[in-house]
Amino acid sequence: MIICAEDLTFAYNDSLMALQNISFEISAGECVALTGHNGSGKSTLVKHLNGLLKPTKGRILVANKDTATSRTAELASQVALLFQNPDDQICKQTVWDEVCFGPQNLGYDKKKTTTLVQEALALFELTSFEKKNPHDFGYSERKRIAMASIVAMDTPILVFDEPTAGLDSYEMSLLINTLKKLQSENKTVLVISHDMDFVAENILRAISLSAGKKVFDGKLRDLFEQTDLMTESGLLHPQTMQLSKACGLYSSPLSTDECVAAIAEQLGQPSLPNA
Amino acid sequence: MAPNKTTATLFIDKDSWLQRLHPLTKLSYILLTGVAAYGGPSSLLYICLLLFCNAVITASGGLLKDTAKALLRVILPLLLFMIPIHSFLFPGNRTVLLEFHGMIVYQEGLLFAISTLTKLTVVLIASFLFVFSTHPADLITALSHTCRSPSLAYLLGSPLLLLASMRERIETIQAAQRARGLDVDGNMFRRFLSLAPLLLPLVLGAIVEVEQRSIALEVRGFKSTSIKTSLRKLSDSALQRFCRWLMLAIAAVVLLLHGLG
Amino acid sequence: MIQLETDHLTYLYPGSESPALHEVSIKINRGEFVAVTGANNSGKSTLCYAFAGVIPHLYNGHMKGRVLIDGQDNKDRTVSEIARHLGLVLQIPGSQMSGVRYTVFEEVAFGLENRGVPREQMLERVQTVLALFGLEEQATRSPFHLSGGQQQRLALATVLAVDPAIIVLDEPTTFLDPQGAKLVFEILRKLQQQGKTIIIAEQRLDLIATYADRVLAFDRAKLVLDGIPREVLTSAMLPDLKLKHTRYTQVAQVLQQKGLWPDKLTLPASLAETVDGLSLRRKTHDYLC
Repeated sequence: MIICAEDLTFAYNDSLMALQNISFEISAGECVALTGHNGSGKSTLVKHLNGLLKPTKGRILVANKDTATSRTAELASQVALLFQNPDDQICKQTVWDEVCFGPQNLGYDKKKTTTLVQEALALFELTSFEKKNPHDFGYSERKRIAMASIVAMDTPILVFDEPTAGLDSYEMSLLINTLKKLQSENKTVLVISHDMDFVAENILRAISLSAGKKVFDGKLRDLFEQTDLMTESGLLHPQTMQLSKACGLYSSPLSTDECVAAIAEQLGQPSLPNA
Repeated sequence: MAPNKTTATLFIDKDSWLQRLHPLTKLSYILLTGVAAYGGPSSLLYICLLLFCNAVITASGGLLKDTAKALLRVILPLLLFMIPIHSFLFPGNRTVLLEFHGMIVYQEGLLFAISTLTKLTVVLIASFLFVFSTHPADLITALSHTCRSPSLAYLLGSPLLLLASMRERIETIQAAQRARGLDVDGNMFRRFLSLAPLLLPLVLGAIVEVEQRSIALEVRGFKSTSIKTSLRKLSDSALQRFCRWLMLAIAAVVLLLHGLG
Repeated sequence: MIQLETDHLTYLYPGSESPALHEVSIKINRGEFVAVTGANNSGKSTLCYAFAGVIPHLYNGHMKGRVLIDGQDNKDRTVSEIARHLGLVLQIPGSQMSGVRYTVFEEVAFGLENRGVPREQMLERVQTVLALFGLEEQATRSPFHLSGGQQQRLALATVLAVDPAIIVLDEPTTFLDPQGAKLVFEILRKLQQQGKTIIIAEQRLDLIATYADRVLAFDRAKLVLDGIPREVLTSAMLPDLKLKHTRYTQVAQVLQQKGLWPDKLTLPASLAETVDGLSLRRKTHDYLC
């Protein structure tokens, strides 16, 4: 198990219980969606993975290290974390320097850094921007720069907090390709997202939080089948499932292909007379 | 979810006549106290009289305990520092008061230290009185009623609230950089170096926020020149207005006399 | 009746070489629910700013053409005068807060104070609006200590409190969870039923398909498509605009290729349109059998 949370509890200044008794395990190479309503504790939870927050009770182990007793600077070589707002992160005058920042902090040599940065820039189609100032671009380009600088750190675990917010469909496809590449490299990926269509098509497992408690951990399809849980978590079904439900189908299609197949089957069936 | 910090305010929610007083009346009072303490006669007796007046006012508003606590925290270190220094080293020292193992305590220095500290105490009490008994929102309301320019009122009023959100942002930026392996622990030099990556996001973020907020304020009619109303009711009276002018007038006269003398 | 109009509107931000809007002419009627869509940087936000008079009043860029509200040129009015007729909700709710009000209740009252609304009326109005947005329990909390969804609803409430005839929203759902985003659209639909004109910049095409009467699609500063959602959102041009058809359209497209979509029926953009199309197909098919 590369990530292991045991009874993780966290309270901001004693009063507000942000996380309550959360336990889960994630094995190396898994890709997991972390879902829940606004303010359910998703961002708070992932800040425990690299020791930015320390549990009030319980513990979390990352690569068998207790994050409470390890320094964030050390954990950063294990876990890279994309923050929601790219502008909290961007601190250099050129795109190249920005993406180099992480690898340099981790002490990679020049050759390794250059290769990693070039790869990451290419993934997000930023290569032609490398000499430009990140702040000359719009929000979604800055978001891509922030994502590239996380990927360039080449850590075994990557956490993306709302990577899809503000991306258009083309930029979304860049993100999806990146996730596929990370999977093929056996990296462990955690994605916080509200975009159920994106999640349904790209991720198999979900952990869902509601008001600081874990309310679901399992196959995404099973989460979608529990409507009351979806409501509690502030989620809506992906469009493909909304359609199949509205058509009175019993299957839970997660992609357009599955959805077409299910509908075709239904339409193909000759209806009974008097039905 | 962001940490649920309460906004930094020293206001003590009590219902006393001090709380109900118009913020500008209290501000004028601070001014008058300051002028009276520093521009009035320098006799210790006079200053003690001012101190006594202020203490009575504070007590009548039920704020004596809180004011005393805050005062001790400010005055005590000064007391420990100033009294010995001036007693030994004040340039006008003539009269020996005490001699102790070669250390000479002079009367002039001691008196100077005591009178300086007492003056300061008088002004501090008046100031604490103000911050403890005035809700910042009331101060902002009073300012925007008085200031002709809404921008000036905003400039005076917004730091009270926006500083708290700025602090939260600094924490987030720092967290974002630590997540990328920036070492902020360790020796002074390293800590100093780690400040640079915080600065750019902070400054740029602040610029964007100012731009966005000024648009928001503009479309919400903040700079409208027509007559405005107010949700918060500030109790004001002809008597209070008269007192404010009277206090300002007295302060002006004292200053004038002080200048002439 | 035309309420809002842009006439050959072109705008360049200061220091920029390419226009953010190019020769844009739109006429919007009272009571319409108009969605503005397009990739990032296609001109959506700039259009919102132009409607609200933020452009050209608060930026020194170069503007050609006109923006008219009820026949009055925005250039001849100040931003706060325009704001009496048109309310603007920004993308990031936090920066919409005044920064000088300590509670949610006072924050909502802020716009009313600036307009000189009498206190009694103000109290009533604030309470009504807070109730509409389900924010009564938050009334005494600091605007800065709300969750993202609550803060966005508060931003909408502050605009609505002053009761403008037109409401313009610049991607207000970006940071909301799916139910929160849907709630915003539900509220907007209610407002439309009360006679308000709604203009919303939005990238979630499934929501647009369900709620809007009309969609304007932008591509690199130009208005390229203008029509009912079913027409615009199923257009073959959409991928060129870096927009993705809804899953409903995608599914129907494949079904059409397989001969499973009713002949002569256009492709659907929303859930309801898809379900209708499929039941039509079922009926005609059964009839033929």
